[in-house]
Amino acid sequence: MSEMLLSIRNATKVYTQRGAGGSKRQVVALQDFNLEIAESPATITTIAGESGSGKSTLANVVLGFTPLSSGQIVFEGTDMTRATPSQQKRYRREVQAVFQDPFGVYNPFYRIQHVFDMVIRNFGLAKSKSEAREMIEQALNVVGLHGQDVLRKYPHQLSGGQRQRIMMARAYMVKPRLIVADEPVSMVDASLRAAILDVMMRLRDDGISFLYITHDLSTAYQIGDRIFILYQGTIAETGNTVDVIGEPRHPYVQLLIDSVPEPDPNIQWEGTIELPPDEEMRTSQNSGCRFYPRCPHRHDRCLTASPPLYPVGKAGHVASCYLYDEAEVGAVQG
Amino acid sequence: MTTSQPPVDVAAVPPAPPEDAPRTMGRFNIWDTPWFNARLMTGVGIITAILLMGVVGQFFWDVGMATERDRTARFAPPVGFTNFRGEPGSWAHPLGTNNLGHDMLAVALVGAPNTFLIGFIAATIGLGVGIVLGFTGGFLGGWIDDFIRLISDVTLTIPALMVLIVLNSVLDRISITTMALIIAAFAWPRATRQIRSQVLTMRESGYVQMARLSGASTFGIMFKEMLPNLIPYLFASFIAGATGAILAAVGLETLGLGPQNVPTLGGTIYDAYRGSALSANFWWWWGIPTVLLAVMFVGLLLVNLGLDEIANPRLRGRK
Amino acid sequence: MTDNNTQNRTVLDVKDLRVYYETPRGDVKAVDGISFTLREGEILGLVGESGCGKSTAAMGVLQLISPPGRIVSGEINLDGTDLLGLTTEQLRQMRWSRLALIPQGAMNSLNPTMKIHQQIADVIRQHEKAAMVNLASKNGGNDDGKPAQRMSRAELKTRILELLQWVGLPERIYSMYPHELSGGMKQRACIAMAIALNPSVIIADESTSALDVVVQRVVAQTMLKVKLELGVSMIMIGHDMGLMAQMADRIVVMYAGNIVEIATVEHMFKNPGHPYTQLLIESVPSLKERKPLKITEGITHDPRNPPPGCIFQLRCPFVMDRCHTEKPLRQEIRPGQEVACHLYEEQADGSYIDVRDVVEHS
Repeated sequence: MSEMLLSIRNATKVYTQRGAGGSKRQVVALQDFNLEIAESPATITTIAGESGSGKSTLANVVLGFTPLSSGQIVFEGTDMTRATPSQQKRYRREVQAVFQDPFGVYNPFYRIQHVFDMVIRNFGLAKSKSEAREMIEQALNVVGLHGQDVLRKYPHQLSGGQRQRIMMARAYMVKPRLIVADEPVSMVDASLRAAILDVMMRLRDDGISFLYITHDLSTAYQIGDRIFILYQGTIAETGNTVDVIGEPRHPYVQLLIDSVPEPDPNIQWEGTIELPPDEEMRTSQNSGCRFYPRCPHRHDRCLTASPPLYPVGKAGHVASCYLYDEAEVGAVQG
Repeated sequence: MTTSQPPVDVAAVPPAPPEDAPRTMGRFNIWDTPWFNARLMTGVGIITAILLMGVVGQFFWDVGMATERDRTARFAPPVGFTNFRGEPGSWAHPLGTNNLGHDMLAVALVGAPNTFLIGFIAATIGLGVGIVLGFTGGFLGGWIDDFIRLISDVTLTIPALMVLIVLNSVLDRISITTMALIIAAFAWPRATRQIRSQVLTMRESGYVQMARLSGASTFGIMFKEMLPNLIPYLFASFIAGATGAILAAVGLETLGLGPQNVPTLGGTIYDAYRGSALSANFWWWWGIPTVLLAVMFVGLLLVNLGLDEIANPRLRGRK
Repeated sequence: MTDNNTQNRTVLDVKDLRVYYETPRGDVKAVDGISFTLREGEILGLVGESGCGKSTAAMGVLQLISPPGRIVSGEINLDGTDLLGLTTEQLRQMRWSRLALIPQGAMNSLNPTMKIHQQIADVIRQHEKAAMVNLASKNGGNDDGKPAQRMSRAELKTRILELLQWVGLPERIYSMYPHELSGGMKQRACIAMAIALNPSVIIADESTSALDVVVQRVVAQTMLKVKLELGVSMIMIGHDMGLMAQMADRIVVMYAGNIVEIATVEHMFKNPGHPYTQLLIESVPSLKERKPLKITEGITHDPRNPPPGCIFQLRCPFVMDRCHTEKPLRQEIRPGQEVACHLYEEQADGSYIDVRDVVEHS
């Protein structure tokens, strides 16, 4: 087993919110989250979930924008929660990001050239202007663009798809080990998404791993190698993308996949579902399975403690549901 | 949705054609149509004209006459008018003279730029302090921000004019710079607060996050990423500050508390008042400075409105 | 979605609508001559990529185009009333009572300082008079037996609670503020507002795009309920073809301000006619199989200067000489499918053949 590129262990993130009337409320955004990305081969790991699932929190934590409440993030053997400034600097180079909003990430004052110049200068990527120009051109070519077409333009003169591809080029140019892509296509027009997803796959083939964070299962299915489906800060199910989406085991994941509208007029949603009238208040850390209120298979055991991940099929495919506890009498076989 | 009006921009803005379509501020491209709007241009024209008066005027007119006394022509009226003694105006003093024989045209040529100068110096100092404190507080947050907010809020509550009056009456000789400094002491909180709130907004923007990921330092982010986007905003803040400062300055001068060593418009009005020009119908003595002041303020107002138009596309003539 | 709407009457008839935007370098032809009909009780999907003009078309129907945009020409007929001939006041009365809109980002346009019930009440009160004329003309009144006069406060409250319950929202939403609601709840509140006065037509612009998958399903099912139980005809604007497959009866495909195809949902997915539609269908990702990604560009020409002839010629893989000069007319190549493309030629017996088939077989 090769060494781990990124290893997240028991990561927990709790936010304290001031509720109405001055009361303090603790919101558990992530609980005991574990994830491992191998050094090689490069993979695209999808983190999928709806709003409130904790996926954005995970992105912020991995990028170092917010600290964990407990747990560790180990990058190539270094515990980032206890890293020295020089280790932090190296992390910045090795872990890059592409964000959701293809417009907000550009400083409207500068031309496109600026985003490249910034990284080259700060990370010392090139020793001369011509070397820099070459680097930029090569990176742009990888994403299917040419410097002469885009570098002198201002952000608003390009389409959303082009802007996202340029961000990919910028991330690629740094030659990171990992790119965190937080909803990179959700604000891009549907017809332009394929180009960006294609870039991600090609960069993966070139040795850069991705942490692809999204709520869109269809795109996850197309490009992800492994997938984690989060529900309210915990992992509901994880495994190879094809396995999880093809044969979902966790009741929530089954509901999720069922609800994705299939582009075939003969395949309709079956039955109506009710949404819980209340927003779940994730106030304590160990309140049992989070999906309990909506689960058609719930029983008392589910309230005692959060279910661990049980194997439910092919290797690596696990789901967090007591239904798959083989020790339990009458449990459903995976 | 309380009415059937949709948010204007959602459907009304067409997709940006793949050409140059200058749109918002933040790009310092002066060939953008919005920068050439009528109000801004007129306002800038007026201010430039007045400033030029002082610079160029001295080559064409002896501005020494503003302070030298011409005892032969005291209370001379402007050309075309006669004063209470029946003396007609002459071209030697086209705008008349005051009680000491100071030439009014010279006074105008010197005084108007001086008044502007006080305003601009005060506004510059105020803005400079505002940038430093506003950025520091807005970007760093925490107790630094709390402290800066505290002192700026407290300074705002101090009745400025009163303190200025007291200060000016206590100090012996006031130069233009001293005046500017004193006024700036009360101008900086407003700029600080405005800049701070802009910084707070920008701090959360995508490009600042991107800059952090690109290894930019805190100062780098502040000066290279945030400051350029603030430029039009800073302009507007500067003009607003200058207007306020000039107002304060003129107010003080009219009360006789302005600089003594140089002629100023407000000071001239004060002298006129002291010299009973109002009752004795020496209208040109106080009238000419007043008219000039009015023109100056109109100029500043137009610049303000013009900058507003740039900042807010909906105010533009076409839309 | 079985289609037995072919005999139903037309509620909305749009003919040759043109909406242009003035820019310093010429008019952007956002909507360049579109014609379509909306039949009673159907959901008409309106799809196309960003910049195709679908939102502008909706705004045009409602006459909510503000300068620098303007309606250049066209006819818009709602249930016999010519919308373009109405005065501003008459139009205002039309909106919400006969023709409602759920605009893009509606849930973000809710007034944050007003409680939900106040906002719905606002809509009802403002357009009550027109609604009453509307109700009186419907046979036998409606299902909640509203009296034909201004509603009392009690009646208003009942009505609002009824609306909330109908869209599946709990009663306590009545006195809550928008920020206290989740995205799905806000969107359903907007739907409640739209159906409050029993309009004949609702135009929903991207009503579910910002929502989570499960919530989207609930909101979409609510809208289906609106169609089935209230008989409201709807125009649904969106880009999620999967959703369209679930919800629409017929679909209009737009490209750069023109309609290239109108087809029933079955035809749209089984045999898309226009090359652009085929492109669209091929690039829809599915959860059933992994396909290689189909990469497309966006609209490539300058919207101020559309090419003469077919609007799609610059991107069409089957472009012919004719396409550069002659603009194709929409032809009904089979029942339930109209395509504007030179690839389809009418035969002597009235049927149509696809020119590509002929080439392959020869």
